[in-house]
Amino acid sequence: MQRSYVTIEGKSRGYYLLVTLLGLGSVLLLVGFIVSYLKGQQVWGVSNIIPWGQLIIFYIYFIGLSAGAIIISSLSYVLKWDFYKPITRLAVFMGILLMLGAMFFVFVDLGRPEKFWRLFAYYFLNNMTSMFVINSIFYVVYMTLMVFYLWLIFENKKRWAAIVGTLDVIWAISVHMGTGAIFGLIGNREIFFSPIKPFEFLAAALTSGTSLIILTTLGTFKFTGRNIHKDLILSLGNLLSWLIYVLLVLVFVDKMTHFYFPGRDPVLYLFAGNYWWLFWLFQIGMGILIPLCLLIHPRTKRTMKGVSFASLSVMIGVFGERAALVLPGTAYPQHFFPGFIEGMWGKPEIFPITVWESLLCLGIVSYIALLFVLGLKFLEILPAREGEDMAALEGSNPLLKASG
Amino acid sequence: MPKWAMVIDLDKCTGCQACIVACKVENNVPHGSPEEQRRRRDIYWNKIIAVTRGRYPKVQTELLPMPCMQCDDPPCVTVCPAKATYRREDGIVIQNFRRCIGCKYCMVACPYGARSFNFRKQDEKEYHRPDLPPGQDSREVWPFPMRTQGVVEKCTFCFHRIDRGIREGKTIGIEILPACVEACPSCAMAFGDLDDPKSPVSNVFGSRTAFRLREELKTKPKVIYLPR
Amino acid sequence: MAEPDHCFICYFAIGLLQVVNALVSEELKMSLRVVAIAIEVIILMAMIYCFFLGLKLTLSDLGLQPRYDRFLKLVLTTLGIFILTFFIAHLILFYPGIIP
Repeated sequence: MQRSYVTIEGKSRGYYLLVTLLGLGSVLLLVGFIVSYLKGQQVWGVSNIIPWGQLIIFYIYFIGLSAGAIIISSLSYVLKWDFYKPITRLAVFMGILLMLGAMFFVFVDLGRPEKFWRLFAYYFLNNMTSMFVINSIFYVVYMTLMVFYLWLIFENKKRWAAIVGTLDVIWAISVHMGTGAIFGLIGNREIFFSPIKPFEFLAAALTSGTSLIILTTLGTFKFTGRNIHKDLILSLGNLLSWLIYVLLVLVFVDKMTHFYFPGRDPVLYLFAGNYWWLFWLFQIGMGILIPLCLLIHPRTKRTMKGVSFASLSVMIGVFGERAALVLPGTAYPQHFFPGFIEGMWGKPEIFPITVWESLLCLGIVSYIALLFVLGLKFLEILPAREGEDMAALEGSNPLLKASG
Repeated sequence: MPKWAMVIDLDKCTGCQACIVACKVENNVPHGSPEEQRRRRDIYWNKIIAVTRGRYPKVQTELLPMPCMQCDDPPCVTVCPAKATYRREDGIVIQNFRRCIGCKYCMVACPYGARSFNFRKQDEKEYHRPDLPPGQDSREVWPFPMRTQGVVEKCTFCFHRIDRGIREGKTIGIEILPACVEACPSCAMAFGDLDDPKSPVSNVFGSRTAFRLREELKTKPKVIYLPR
Repeated sequence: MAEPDHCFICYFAIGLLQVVNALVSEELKMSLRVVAIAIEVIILMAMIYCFFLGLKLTLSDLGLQPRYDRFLKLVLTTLGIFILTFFIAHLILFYPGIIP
């Protein structure tokens, strides 16, 4: 069925207010950047012990969201499930913007951002064994593929879109597994070091990406007065529950491996140290248990409210999961010599939340949201408001069938 | 090709930190304010850690000076994206400030915590060196680097001294030493070429059971410790 | 200080700069720096503008429909604003003094 996509008018007071607020937030990005650059990274919470802070947490979170969004968008074009067609353009567009946001985060986090070009001077001026460089190859191709994919969707070139979409999905998987490998291959940090890290990252990306699609679809469609099909959201919720199962298994296996054999101090620090709450309340509680309860319980899983609460919980929980990796991973003191290391070299470090770092993160998030909102006005992303064709939806939703 | 290594005799080390001070003086490492020390942002090229074992009254304390281990298989070199840190043929791991993009991946990957980041631009007064003659301006590249913010730095085994010594034909390990080795009042540190049978370090393995830190990580560090 | 090579012009230029440095006041030096930074920012932004315009025109030549133009222009403009901020911050921090 040929669905038509339109731009939104974007002339309402609410829209202008939103754009203004997000614009002001983006100004925060500029101000925060100038202050952080001129004063140095001393205004942030990072230190010689915890060198990666809020910016890197947001960076890996956004890459996860982007990869997750692209993989969900593939459901319609690649797997040819027409049921998800209304949200494909939204998902791919968000994938592009989230990737741009992740690049902003990593650019600003560099001590000398003007030298970033060295990462892209392959073989001659950079070190090809570094995971950052391998990831930069992934990211460049990923960004190109995503933009190309979106353009093909806009131009209604369905066959090409399916081919490029398949490639994009496979590449999105490699992108996020590569990001996981940045951490998983570092042998001296026991909390990081695990061959499962790339898969854990991928599972977290899928859950958070699906949740973001659910929430954005609900928000955008409601805000622009379009009716959403309950079945669309419920089937995405069902998909989300399966993805959370996978994430639970991977997190369990990873932590169990670190816990089983003697030498379990680092993972005990993760469970019971300063940052226990990041792991138990955010990663496990909000990221896995609460959404699973909401999505399994027969009463809540059939309501849009239940699914949206579960999605919100997953988004916050996965953010906590990223933080629970980056912060305790480096805060745990390295054991240079067997015994108890006295003084500051033996104590786990605390990461303070600082104003400029938080404002900078908020600024980048506002900027990406601003681009999204403006994209809705200037690009044909949302389906037309008048009458969705119900006939096309009957019998074409495989996920709802599977859940029974 | 020489293979520079350092031997630290823990029996002689008293933890006086003269080596730390000498390193800071030689390489113009900023002192850092108490606030920076509290926030763990002060720059340390060399550090001394105290490790205790046992329970009172049978407590044993080890004092371990830890410069950069100049590993033969350095994880920091593997992860640096800009090739800003690389291993020279003589075994010294060099940090090139001009190439460093400040991503701090090497700081995460270093098993010995040897690397520090420049969190701010240092004040001019940090480079005031009244003890030096007027010609040796603080803006020279080595041995008194002006720090720029946003790059990572670490101990270099005073390679500037070694290179100058080789050019002038002096014996490294006897006449030319890194600043920390030279400053040690109890002569607990020795420096030299592992492959040279006449150097102070090459016959160390026979005397007592030498060990290196975190050997299980197989980084092949070249700072060797002799236990008490 | 950079090693002067054996060319006479270099000696002359450095000598001239040293004389200038000694003669001008601190305030004049500061305002000269501000002017120099402003000029350099204008030149750099002109380069970025040309680069982005070239990008947009190339995409149009390669067949990009005009309906995407507005959004593309928006994205490039916002990126340009960020790049401008970066240049200003970078030059304020790293602009050298009059003496090299």
